[in-house]
Amino acid sequence: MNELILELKSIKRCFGKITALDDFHFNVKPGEWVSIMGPSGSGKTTLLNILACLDTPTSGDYLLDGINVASFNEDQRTVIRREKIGLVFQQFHLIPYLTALENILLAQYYHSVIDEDEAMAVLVRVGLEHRATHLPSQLSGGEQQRVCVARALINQPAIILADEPTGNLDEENEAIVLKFFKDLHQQGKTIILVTHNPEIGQEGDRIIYLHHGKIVEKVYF
Amino acid sequence: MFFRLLEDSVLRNRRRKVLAVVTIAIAATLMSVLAHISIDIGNKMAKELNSYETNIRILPKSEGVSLFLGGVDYNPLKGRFFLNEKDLPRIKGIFWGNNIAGFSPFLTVPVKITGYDAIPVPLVGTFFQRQIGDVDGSQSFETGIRFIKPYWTIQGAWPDDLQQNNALVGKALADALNLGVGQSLQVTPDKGAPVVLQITGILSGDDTYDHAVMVPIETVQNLAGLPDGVESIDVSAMSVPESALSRKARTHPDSLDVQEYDLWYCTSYVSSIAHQLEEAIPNALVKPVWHVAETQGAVINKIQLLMFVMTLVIFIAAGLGVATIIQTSILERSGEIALMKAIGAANHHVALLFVAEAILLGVIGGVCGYLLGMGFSQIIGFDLFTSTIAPSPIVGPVVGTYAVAISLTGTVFGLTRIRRISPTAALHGRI
Amino acid sequence: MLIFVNTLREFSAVAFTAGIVFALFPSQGFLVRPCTGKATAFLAQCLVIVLFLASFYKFSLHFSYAQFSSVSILNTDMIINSASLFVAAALLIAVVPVLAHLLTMLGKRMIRLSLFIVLAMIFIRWSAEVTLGLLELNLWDASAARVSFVAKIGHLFPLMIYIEMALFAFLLLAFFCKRRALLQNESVEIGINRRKSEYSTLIEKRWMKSALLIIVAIVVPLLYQDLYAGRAPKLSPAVAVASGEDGVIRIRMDDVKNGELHRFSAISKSGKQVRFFVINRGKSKDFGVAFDACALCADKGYIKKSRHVICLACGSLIFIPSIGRSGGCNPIPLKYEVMDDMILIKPEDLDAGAKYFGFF
Repeated sequence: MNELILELKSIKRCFGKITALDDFHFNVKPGEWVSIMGPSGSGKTTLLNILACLDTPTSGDYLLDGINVASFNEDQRTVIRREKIGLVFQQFHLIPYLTALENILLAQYYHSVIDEDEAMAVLVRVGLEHRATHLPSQLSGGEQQRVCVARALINQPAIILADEPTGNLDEENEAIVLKFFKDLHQQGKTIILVTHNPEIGQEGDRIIYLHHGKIVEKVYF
Repeated sequence: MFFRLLEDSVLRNRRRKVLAVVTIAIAATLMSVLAHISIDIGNKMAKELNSYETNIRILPKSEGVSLFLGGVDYNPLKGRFFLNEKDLPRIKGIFWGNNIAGFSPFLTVPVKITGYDAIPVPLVGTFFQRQIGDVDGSQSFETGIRFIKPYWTIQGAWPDDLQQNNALVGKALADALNLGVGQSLQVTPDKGAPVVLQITGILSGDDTYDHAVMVPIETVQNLAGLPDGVESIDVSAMSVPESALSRKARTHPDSLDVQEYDLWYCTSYVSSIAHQLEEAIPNALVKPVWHVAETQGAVINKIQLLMFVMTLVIFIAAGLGVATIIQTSILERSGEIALMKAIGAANHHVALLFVAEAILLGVIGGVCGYLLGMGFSQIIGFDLFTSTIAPSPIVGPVVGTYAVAISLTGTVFGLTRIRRISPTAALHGRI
Repeated sequence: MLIFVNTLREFSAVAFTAGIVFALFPSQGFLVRPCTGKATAFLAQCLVIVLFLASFYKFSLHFSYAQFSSVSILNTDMIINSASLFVAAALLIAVVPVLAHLLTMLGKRMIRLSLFIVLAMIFIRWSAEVTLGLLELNLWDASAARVSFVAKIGHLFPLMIYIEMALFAFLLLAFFCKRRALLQNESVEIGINRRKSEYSTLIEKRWMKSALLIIVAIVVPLLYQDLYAGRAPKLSPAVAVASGEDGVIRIRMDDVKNGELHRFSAISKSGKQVRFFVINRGKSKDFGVAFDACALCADKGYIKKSRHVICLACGSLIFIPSIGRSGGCNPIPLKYEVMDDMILIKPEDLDAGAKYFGFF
């Protein structure tokens, strides 16, 4: 059992009368890269919210690193989220009035204590050490997304959850960001990536396709 | 990191911050005015009541039921009963006689000053400084108005009690009539012959005698045809402030145990001194004179509840204002808050930011309100009591606490919104 | 200040018990429901509430608004006194979580030790109170043992808060040592665990700082009140004067003319120590000489405080020009003569006052 880093057992999530996810089973092994694909309204977002501990399932169990977080309240989910999960957003989402470095420090601050050297090191890793004191508005889309990846990595999460990380990027930056994900994968990080782009989806170990809240297809590579 | 966030939070959206500060400052100004006035008078009153030197006034018994209507005393006995000057030594003869620091009798008649006939002026007869023998004549005691009004300032010299034509003129009267030291003055009572007085000094520092002419008491007694007549006696006594024990002794004298009784008996409470004076002097009514307590204190006492309700209402109104401002501000920043939560901020992380900001706004508003209120309280104090308000240091903390409390209360109500902001919003581009 | 100290004294045991109860039953929350929670936890919380009510009753007995201010209008004294009540309450409320945290971290043994000490003090204190109540209601006979028990505990009660604070300080020290030992034994953390352990160190430091702050904020005012402000004023030392060969005491006027109260002591014929004082009543050399005793209040003595002479027994002010005259609470006059800038006191005059000294 312990060889699974993430395990969803008969997860159900309803919004009023609408059932977004129904009897959903899903496992991820440590170091795996899983891509999630599916059309709008297929339950991808709901799944991601539950995986990121942003939302709780109506019923079912969710074991994250061996802990059942399905019944956690908001505060408990906040704690588990900052410890275990690194989030990368489609629209980058950096705090606009904080510099690149400070955005990373913020994640450290919410997690535990700040350490500027470590934050700088992770910026070096994404190749942005020279942009550390720039505000997000002074960075290109690709650079912003790299800061976002750096922020997701800073607290050494068990899983990196990325929602269309390249959706808003040009091809050049897409390649750079994707390369980071490949590197991380090679270093043994667990990655769950939601995407519309089949090419990006194929970079992972497997793809699951969602439709109407159910897995309709699993592709293993 | 926290201070970096706070810095940005404070500096952004300045118009709204200014609005919040102004709201708090207005409330704090009101609080500051009320606190300045009330605390100043409260302090003066406490000082007066806790003082070790009390002024006691002895009046003839009939004075006790004076009936003032429209400034005229309708008491029919007025002017008929007088104290006897011969009883004065008895004041020192009471058990607490040694605690009588001084006394001075008074007798007043209205007179007209020759050349200024239109203005009737009180001619006040008193002791300035003279030796009084004991009841048994064994020891003498120096007393007079000099000893019980140490705060008087005299320009020129004190009149000599032995020179019946020596006079002291109140500053306001002297200024109005252009009188100076060394000049003479002719006064005429209603019935009787005019008297020429020699001005030895001008008195300032006492509103009561600002328009009066003061002479040795014999002068007035002769004018009024009342030898030995005394209208009132002011006594300055060294006393111990009233305590729970003295109250108990007054209400339930039998309930004191032996130790308590001894202590009470051996303690110079104002009440016991007054009581003994009343026993010693025939037909006398004795009461402590608490100037502040009976004038300004009485006014404040009546409106204190009103003031309290006012501050409460303003508190609620300003608190609601701040709550609205904070809620708008939280709503406006909900995307940012959602993002903070998504990357791991707990509710308390976010709330702390707003609370710190609220404290800062409260302090700024409080300081503004304090200063404004200090100014206004001078105007109002002068208007109400024709006296300036001494700013007491405690008002600062009181107004500060009030302002911060408004700001915090408002913010805490606004904070409920933070909990309602879901971090999922951050994931889906709604920022 | 007095209100602050009295509030702390009365309610400190409640705060300590509450802290210990929270440490004993950490997961039980603030109020245990009687049916679902653990019975012991429920009983413990009931004990805290009963203790609070008892203390509250005791506090309310001595509480009166007159303590806040002699005036009903808002004034500085009233604000400071009310604020001190709130600060005392806030400090005691702050004790609860800090103590609970320290004890939780220190483990069962320390919890039991603290519980034992605090409960023992509470038991002793309240058994004395109950005994007193029963004696007052005449339900118990006032035997010497019972009365002396009540009196002794009455004397010891002011010390209890010091014992509690010492316990608190001891727990803080134990916690400090334990953490330091832990940190020394721990291997240096790497990566994310380093930051996490730094964070936990930061948090524990905050707990320790709060504990220290609370201890200082409680103990310093207590000590100030007990050792300085609350102590009865003491007589200035009396200068022993010896009489000359003829038995006459001679005091140089120049030594005592500065307007202060100069206290002397001499031995009377009967062998008693007799105190008297000399004070310059006016600007010129107009001396009041009197025994340091009052006909009413015995030999407690007199002190000069700023420009007043005060009777220590009753606090009455003595009008300085009247010193040397009898009556009221004045000191008993002592006859003297003046000769060549010297104050002379004859032995027989001194001996006449010997009877006023040493009753008690």
